[in-house]
Amino acid sequence: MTQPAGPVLRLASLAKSFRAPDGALVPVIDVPAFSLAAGEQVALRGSSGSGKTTLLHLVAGILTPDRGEVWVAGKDMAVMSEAARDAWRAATIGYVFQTFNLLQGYTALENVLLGMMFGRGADTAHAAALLDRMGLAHRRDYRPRQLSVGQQQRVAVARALANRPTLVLADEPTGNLDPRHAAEALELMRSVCREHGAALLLVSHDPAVLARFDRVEDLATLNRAVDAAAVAAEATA
Amino acid sequence: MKTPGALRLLVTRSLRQHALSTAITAGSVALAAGLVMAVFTIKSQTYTAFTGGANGFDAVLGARGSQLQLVLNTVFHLETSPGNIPWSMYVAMTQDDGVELAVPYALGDNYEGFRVVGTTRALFDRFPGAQGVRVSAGGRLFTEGTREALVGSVVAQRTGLRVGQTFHPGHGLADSDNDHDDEFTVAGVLEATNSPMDRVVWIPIEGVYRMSGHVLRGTGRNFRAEPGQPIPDEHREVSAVLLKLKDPQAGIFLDQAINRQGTRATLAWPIGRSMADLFEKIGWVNRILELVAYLVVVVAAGTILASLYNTMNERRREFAILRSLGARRATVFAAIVLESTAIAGLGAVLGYLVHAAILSLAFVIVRAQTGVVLDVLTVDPVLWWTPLGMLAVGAVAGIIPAVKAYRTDVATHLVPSS
Repeated sequence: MTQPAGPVLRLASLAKSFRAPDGALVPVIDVPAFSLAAGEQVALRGSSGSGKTTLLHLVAGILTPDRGEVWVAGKDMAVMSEAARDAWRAATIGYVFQTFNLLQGYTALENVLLGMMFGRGADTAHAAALLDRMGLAHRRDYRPRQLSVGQQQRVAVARALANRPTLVLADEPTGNLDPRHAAEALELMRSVCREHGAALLLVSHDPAVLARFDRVEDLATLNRAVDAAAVAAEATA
Repeated sequence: MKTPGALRLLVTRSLRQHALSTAITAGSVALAAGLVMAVFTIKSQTYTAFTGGANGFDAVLGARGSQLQLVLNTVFHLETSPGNIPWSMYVAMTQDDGVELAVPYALGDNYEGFRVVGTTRALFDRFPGAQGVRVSAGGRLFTEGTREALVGSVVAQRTGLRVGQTFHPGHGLADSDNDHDDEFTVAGVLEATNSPMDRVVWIPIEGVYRMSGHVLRGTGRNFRAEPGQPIPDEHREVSAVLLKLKDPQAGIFLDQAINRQGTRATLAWPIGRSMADLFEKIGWVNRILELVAYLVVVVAAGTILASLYNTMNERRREFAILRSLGARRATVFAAIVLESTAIAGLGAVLGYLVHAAILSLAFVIVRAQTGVVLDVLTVDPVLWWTPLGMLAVGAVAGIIPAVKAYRTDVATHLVPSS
């Protein structure tokens, strides 16, 4: 599959702070630069408190940065209106959450279709093919609570890829799986992303997951706002 | 299929997920919609039924007094008689150039609570109403001067009177044990006319005059009819005379002569105007009923609002997920407004059942009490503007919950931040 020229994701001088209960501004993200080439698969090592979810939310346009640039597929989402960010996110980004965030009242197929409806438009054949590829042909009409955790994770991956995104974000996608299923799920996700030509940015603190990636970035290094000492202390705990 | 398809899926799935709440809320909307439709339909139908037809007659002549009382007593067989007028006034009407048909009524008796009215065969032979009057198979009209009777369809149904059976009228307009000795034989049963005529026992007017215990005061002195002896016209009285006029001009002349220049009688003309005056006078009752119906609509709107608003907290994660998938705030807002509109729409459709039930009940009650039949199959404009109004009310009721959904912060309500 041909890949577009230039990085699919580029962050520049990205900063985000939150206000603490005492009123003080607490920097959470301070990333001078980061980029991800089209079709590239990168793992970010990040433990609790490293700002990994916030970073992914900034990349996805769910949060807006205090300053900096978030270039996704050639457009700076940081300067877009909220509606434009929503549309661009639907068109270019797939998101796999740690807790999968499947909609409980909907079947596996409908969850995937809903992912399409706000983007390129529902394509039942494509959604069904994705579920088939994820080994869920026999579970299309099952609701999330009728599926195993591993199956839910695969539905979430199928939904993330439904709009043929150029970038897939995965936040601890195997965090709820046992090691054997985690390895299988990760390989499936990576191979399906490759098949679809989507770049993958995955954050995890699981060494077994990180070991499978050629390029692993340390969020503690990438994000200057991280309290390195606290991260180190937590990592050794 | 883009956002519209998503909205349809979101709304239908949410309604199904909250089926009990949806059913209860739609039920309250159905009650409101049904009540509004029923109040306006019954108001419209009763007005039409009581002011419209009067079975083809244009005017009623009776004793000096209230025109409304005259009409209620003569046309609808309700109320008491305002008194009698001399037979000569009936004769004068039959000879008036502007009168096409004059039918005398004499009343004062009942059978099991149904009025016994003395009249002439002209009422049936020349009945001016569009539907006409027909006697059921096996029967015939009564013969003048005999003790025969023609029974209205409701009377036959309620009392079981059939052709050939006999009965004794009771004295007075209300049911009592004070029966006359006179025995009448049923000559025929009228087919249903869907009018107050169905609730009457018709006998020859001579039968009223000759009823035992009846006294005629046409001359101002008491006169009792003797069996086999003719009754001089000057002793005869009638309770009222139903008039079919040749043209409206005749009504104007008679109104002038009887109501404005005369002192002995009252002409109720046109009949519908008297009833319209009645509806005008009791219009405040309708306005109160309308107000109650509108209040029920407000309560239904509140029910929609509350039921949706209460689910907003538990659905915030759902909205956040949808937003993370690319749904705009406006899409989430529209989904909630559409959901409330859909509940209102569902309720409005069910409202037709409530409306039909209330109207059926009103149909039975009004027919039983007055003999007047409401035309329940008439399509009143209220039957389309009420559902449309309920849709609008539903949409408005959804705005506050929709605003709450609109304001859902995506990042906060997705997975917990690390």
